[in-house]
Amino acid sequence: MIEWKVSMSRVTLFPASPASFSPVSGLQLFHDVWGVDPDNFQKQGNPLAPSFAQGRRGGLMVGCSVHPSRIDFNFGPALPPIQGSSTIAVQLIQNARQLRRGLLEVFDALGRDSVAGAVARVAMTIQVLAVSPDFAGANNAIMGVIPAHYGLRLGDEEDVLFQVNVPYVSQTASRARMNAVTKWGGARLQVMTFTLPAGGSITSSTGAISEGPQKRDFIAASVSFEINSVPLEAQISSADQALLFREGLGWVEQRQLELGLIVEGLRNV
Amino acid sequence: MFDHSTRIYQQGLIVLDSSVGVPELPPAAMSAGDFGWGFSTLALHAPSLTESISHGVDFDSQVVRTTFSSVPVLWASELTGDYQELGVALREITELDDDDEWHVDPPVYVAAGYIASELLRMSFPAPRIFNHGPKSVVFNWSSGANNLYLTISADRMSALISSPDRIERRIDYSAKQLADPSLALFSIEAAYSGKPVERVLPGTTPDPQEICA
Repeated sequence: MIEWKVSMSRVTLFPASPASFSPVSGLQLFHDVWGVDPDNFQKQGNPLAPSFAQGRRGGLMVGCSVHPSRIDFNFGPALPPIQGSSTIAVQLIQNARQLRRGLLEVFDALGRDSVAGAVARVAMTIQVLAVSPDFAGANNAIMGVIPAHYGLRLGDEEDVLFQVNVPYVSQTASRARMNAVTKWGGARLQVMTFTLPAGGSITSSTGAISEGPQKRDFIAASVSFEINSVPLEAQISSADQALLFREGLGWVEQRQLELGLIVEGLRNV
Repeated sequence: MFDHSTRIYQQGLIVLDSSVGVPELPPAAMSAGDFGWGFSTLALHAPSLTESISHGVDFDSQVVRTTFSSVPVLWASELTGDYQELGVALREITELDDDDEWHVDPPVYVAAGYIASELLRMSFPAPRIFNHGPKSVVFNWSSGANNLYLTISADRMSALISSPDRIERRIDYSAKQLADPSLALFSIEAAYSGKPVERVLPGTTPDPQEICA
């Protein structure tokens, strides 16, 4: 039984133009969406770098980053404490229902107010992984979720990537043309851990260097879904942003069922 | 910037059929003073459709073809270092007193940061920067005796290409036309270099560009 779980998700807004971009800080955005303080906040240290806020929400680590030309809302698994190299593992979102709820919270916030000023383009991606012992196993998992009419045959090839785009026209008022991309691949993952003494310094109070990085390599089958609107000269209203994302999430939910991924919690029930 | 600090992803890929060879390589080292204009293959790590935009006397010629490259020809670390300095310079001239001759207004700062981040994402070498009063900043690249000046104000952008003898071309973009700045920047690149420039149209959106503070 191959178990697919969500690895990460991201919701992105692209401003309509420099003049219409009202950059807020990641901290303000985090407050606007989740109504609480983040656990971490990094202000914009360089004008071309993002400001960034993140915090734990149940089993998720959620964050928002404000770049000079885009705003991203990120979702990933909340990482547990790691004790020794034997416990190093690929962390995945165990409860996709929490992710779905988190995405809807972002969509609702975007629909309530214009958090980014005028927006010309929206995008959302969700990546699903199944960790495998080797590439043959990963390819086997991929083969099980690629429609037969693509005629792909895989053995023990490494570094596979296969991508298709099946665009659709949104039913929302904007009638935006949406790219709907599915990407299958074999992913190499390397998980590294660093042991830092209290205070975050890489040297202890005695001057000794802290324990070096430990790493483990993993192979995984990967399926990514992305929806994004083609760039428009006209801006997308707040209400339509939310609708486009809800529509896109619906496409992902339907698509993963069609492919046979059946990620528990990643569908409207 | 998201909490992926304990994970490194190495994305696999499949080599697609290609109708053209590997794109022309740029000089090994590039700077704003030696602008090779052959740098658009950075970060082409995935198979992509590319659109070739050729700007000659008129702006009509467009050809769609496929190409592929998996080898970066300019490392991100080289590029981001120069852009860090550009970002610092932008901030400093914005924080100057209003009556300082180098001061620029905050909306200009926002627009310049927006364009600079797109230039970085598209692997343009970092430009020189100078101001033109508080209402605009100018990004400059030179290639031999020729110069490209990108004048950025709060709501528009203008590209001016000059040789020692004359102004070769001027291209103006309104705020609306900057909704997809990559199109504007690629067309400027094509006009300046005088040869087709490949624009990546992958159907997916790029990952956020990372730059250290």
